[in-house]
Amino acid sequence: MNASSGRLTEIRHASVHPILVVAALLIVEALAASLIFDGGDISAARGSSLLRFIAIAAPWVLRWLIVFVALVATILYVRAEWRPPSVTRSRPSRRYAVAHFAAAAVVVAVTSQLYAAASSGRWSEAIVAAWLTSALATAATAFLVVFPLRAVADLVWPLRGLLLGSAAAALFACAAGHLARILWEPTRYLTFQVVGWLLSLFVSDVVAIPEKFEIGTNRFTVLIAAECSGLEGLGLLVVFGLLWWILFGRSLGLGRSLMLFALAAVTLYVLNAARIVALLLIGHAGAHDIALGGFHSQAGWISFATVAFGLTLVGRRMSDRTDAASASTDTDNPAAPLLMPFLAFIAAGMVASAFSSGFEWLYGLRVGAMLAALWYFRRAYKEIAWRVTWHAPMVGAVVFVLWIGLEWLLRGTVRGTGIPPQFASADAPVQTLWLALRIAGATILVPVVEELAFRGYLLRRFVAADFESVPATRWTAWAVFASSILFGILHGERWVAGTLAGALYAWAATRRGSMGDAVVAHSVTNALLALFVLYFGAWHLW
Amino acid sequence: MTRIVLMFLAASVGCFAATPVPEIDATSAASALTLITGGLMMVRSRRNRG
Repeated sequence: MNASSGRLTEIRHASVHPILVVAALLIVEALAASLIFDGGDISAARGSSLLRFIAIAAPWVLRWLIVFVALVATILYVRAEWRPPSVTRSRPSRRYAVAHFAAAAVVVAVTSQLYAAASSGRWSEAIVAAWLTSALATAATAFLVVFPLRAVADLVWPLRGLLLGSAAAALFACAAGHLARILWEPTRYLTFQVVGWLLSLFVSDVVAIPEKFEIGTNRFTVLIAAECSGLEGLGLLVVFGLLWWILFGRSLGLGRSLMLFALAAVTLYVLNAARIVALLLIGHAGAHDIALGGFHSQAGWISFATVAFGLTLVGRRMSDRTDAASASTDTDNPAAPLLMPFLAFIAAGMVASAFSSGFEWLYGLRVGAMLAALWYFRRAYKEIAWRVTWHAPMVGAVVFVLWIGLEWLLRGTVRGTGIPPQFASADAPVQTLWLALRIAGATILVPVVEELAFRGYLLRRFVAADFESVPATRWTAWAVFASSILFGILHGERWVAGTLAGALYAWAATRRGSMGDAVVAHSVTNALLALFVLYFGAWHLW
Repeated sequence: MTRIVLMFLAASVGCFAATPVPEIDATSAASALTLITGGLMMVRSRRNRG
């Protein structure tokens, strides 16, 4: 595949790609470090002024980074024609590899001093500074083994306006957001009043203590904290509103966009109050654990997602009416068969979690949602290649080994706390039904919906905006990296294993252009994980 | 100019909204953001026939 204006090339070298070399190197180093320093205690490091400063600054740096990345990613996604130019070396740099090993050796030596200082109680800021510096040098040299500085500059320079603007916006954000907390208290009082009025429509004996912001019934009350005022949801809606405007709203015009946004904001505020009322009614009915557990954490996000979708669909409909060309023609959506089953899985999961108290009894909702979506779009799947080769089960087994290996490496153990007590105390027929649904979902349906979404759509979308034109065997390093990282993030704290799994499934899918290979690989991984969970009681892996 | 102002405004409350609260755990946030992002991608990929 030849390079063309700004598009990444498909890597074809006889030698192993530098990224894979460095990735393997870093895994070996992490393993060695874990074996050498496992069990050490450096909790006394809190005595270090430097580390205390980092602990205070880190959350704000993380917030800045999240906002910065979200802005840059959205704007680059909208610029469908943008693709990152090829920046990797054809071979790993020996000079920087030597520098990396030297820096890693310094890290090991200084870490030993760090543990010794922690145990003796005698601290030296110099040791901490040396540790941080050598760690940064190790990371930087690992990066330079693969990416030459000049090529990185070629990547960054054309985007300098976007990057500087986004960085400045994110910095302003953190300052303004911190100052906006003064609005929490007045909004909290208003929310308290609205919840009290709404609750009185359902129960006659409303308990309301304004001095403590305590509200509820004679059987169940809650305290409305400042964070529950609804202002945070409105803040998120503002962020979503901007992204929505970049993606859809410009064709609508600023006036109508603001009108729609105001309507969405009012709706979300009312839904927040309704959420608190629903929580109180669930608690009043006796389900305290559900009210304070799953419902408390999920209902707000369900409301937000509903309002966000509503804003998008209404805006799109208004935009179509404005555009005469689209008003009278039918539309189709090539991404829907690939994404909808996955989105149905996520949405059903949120609802199931909302009515759970620590154990997701309603997992069957996810199974039903996936089946319904796959059945609805079944005709679209006839055009997809589903043949399976013998490589697929092997890839699945390799991913399973990696998953368990990383779990042991990063957490020191793979054994969990055993069967969850809620499950253990249930009747046998209920346990059997739940297990059947859980295993069927994990081994058959989840691989299908996730591979359709991540390898069937996302991988190809990162290759070209017109993803339907991308052959099933086509891939780029950028597409594999981006789709795998997003797949990894979906797996939460196991994002490293998830990212590696995504990359391997991408290889399985593009090797012979068959979705069947990726699905079977994923299915084998999940089946082996299910066996592991049930045999070793490692339910935390589920 | 409008885009710049909106970008600053949105980013500010976005940063403010990243405050951790007991009810906003990482799992529920990740699910919701995945749902919204996927929905946006799907709506955006809609096209007119003919």
